[in-house]
Amino acid sequence: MFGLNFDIKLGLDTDGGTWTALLFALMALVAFIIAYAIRSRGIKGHKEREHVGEPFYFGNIVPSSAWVKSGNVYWGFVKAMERYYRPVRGEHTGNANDYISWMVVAMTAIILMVVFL
Amino acid sequence: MMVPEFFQDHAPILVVILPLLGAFLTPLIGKASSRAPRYVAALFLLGSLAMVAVLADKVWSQSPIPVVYTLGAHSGSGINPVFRIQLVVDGLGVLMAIIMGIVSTAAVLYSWSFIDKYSGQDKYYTLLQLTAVGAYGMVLTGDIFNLFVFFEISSIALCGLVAFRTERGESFEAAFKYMLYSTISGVFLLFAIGIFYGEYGVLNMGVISEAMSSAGGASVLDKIALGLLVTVFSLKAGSVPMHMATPDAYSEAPGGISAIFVAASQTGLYALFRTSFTIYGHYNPNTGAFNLDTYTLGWIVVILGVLSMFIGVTMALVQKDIKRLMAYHAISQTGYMLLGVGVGIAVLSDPAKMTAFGVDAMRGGIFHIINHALYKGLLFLTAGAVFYRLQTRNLNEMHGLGHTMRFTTVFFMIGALAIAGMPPMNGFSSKLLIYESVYQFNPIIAVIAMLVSVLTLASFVKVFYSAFLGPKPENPPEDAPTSMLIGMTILVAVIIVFSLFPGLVVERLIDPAVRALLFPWLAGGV
Repeated sequence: MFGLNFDIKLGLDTDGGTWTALLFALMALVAFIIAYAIRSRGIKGHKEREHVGEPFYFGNIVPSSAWVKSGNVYWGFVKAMERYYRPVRGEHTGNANDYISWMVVAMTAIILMVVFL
Repeated sequence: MMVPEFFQDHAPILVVILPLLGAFLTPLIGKASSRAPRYVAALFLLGSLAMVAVLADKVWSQSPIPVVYTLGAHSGSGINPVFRIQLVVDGLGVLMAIIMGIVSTAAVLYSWSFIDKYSGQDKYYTLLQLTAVGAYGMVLTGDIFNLFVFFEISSIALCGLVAFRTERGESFEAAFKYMLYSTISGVFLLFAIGIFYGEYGVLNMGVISEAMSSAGGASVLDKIALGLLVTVFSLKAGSVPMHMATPDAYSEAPGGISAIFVAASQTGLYALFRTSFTIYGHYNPNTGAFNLDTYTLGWIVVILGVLSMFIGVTMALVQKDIKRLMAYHAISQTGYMLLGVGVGIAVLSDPAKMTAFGVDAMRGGIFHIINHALYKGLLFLTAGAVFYRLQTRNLNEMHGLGHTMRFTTVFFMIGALAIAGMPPMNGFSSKLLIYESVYQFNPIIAVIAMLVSVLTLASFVKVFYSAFLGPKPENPPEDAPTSMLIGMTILVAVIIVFSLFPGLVVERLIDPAVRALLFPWLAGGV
């Protein structure tokens, strides 16, 4: 059933060559093993203490409020792209009438292009 | 493995009938037990997936000749089968059915826990199965009027599912907007079908393309019908600028439904490619002409693709609602599929370019369809798991979920790496095919596609950082319940197989779909 003959084609042939994901995964595994081997040579007697590895916050426990919120991530990018974002976000009004207007505009443009070009 | 002859003979209709039967039985059985509908839905959707497997075996064994199943017609009845309802299943149709089968199975198992605390589960599972019926029907039928019927079934069922969480006013608003879009697009689809029927007196897609070819190619009316079809199917797929209702609907739908929504929306792409190639891309060997010079059509699809990719990803980057962000990414990824296949459509009448890069572009576009359904389905399920535990979708109110929701975190990472096209994930394989082939078509568009990938990665880094990294929450949530993890695991397993063996997937699944589109004499068994 399903015509399986176990002659499994590993690589994906493209114009530029062959992409073999399995080989990539194998290399990643080798890299992981090497990293793990190096790590295992570290100090064995290290003891986990409270707050080790946490960012320094005036010597206090890092509060949840110190976390940079999602809304502030990429603030600079959005600010730099403000001239693009203002009209594009402005068109996403949430108003169903506007939704339908865009559909009508797109339909008209597509029909005109198909008929006349 | 031997499959009984009955199932082999009737697999095309059983794929559609089983979830339909399940949808009718679910409310009845729901009267006896409130928990029974979940088992009924899972049973019938699994049965349907099994029939898809049987059908796939049959289709691939005779590819590119489609499997034709005529309802209610005995071979000696004397009635021309093209006047009956026909299911015409080729490599592309069966690929779409496989997508729907895998995603619906994962979604139904996921839903067991997700909607456990809600009343009206019988209605939920009924509508879920009807969505599958609509999607299966759309991709298996050879008749454009039946395509409209299944389009409506799918849209109406999805409207009900978007509004399922009746305690939220936003759900009703989103369902209303989606219903408005679906109804108006349904009317325009019917109008286009009316044009075909008025001109040629038939509804079978294969026969319409033959009749159009005999009449000397597409008339002005046919071109108007094409404009309507491109708009309607692009809207169903969530392409810019007809995407406005998509983020609303995806984000308000329950977790499992958002995943199935992705697969159901992709039937719009299927219908767009089917009409572009089978009806308008029909080649007449006697005259040496196509029904339509598809160059303009191809560029229209490419432009829709580029707009979807860029506007989708840039809008995603500024979202604070995790599901709304993913919904905009669904729009952006749809752009890649439109781009890949659009290039194929544009160079259809140029054999040299088609051989040089057109076929690879189509391969990439179609491979991206199945990849996207898998990883975006998975990402929506992880977002649903986060919502299930926190009861919020606002990224500003999340942090440190990775401390306790470990499986969900790993599943999210897999999905995020795949959608960003990071090697060795499956998203990389399909995007690689698209980049290389589109570069030969137009280098600027290929650069835009790569830039969009970078922004996609940036966007998912933002989600990963905001939701899963950071200090442990004061009340750390448990990981998602087992049934939800099982649903996600199914998709993860398929993603890993697709990632490690892209050559095998393209050879066995994608190439038959591309061959099906490039042999325009398929539909209707003309």
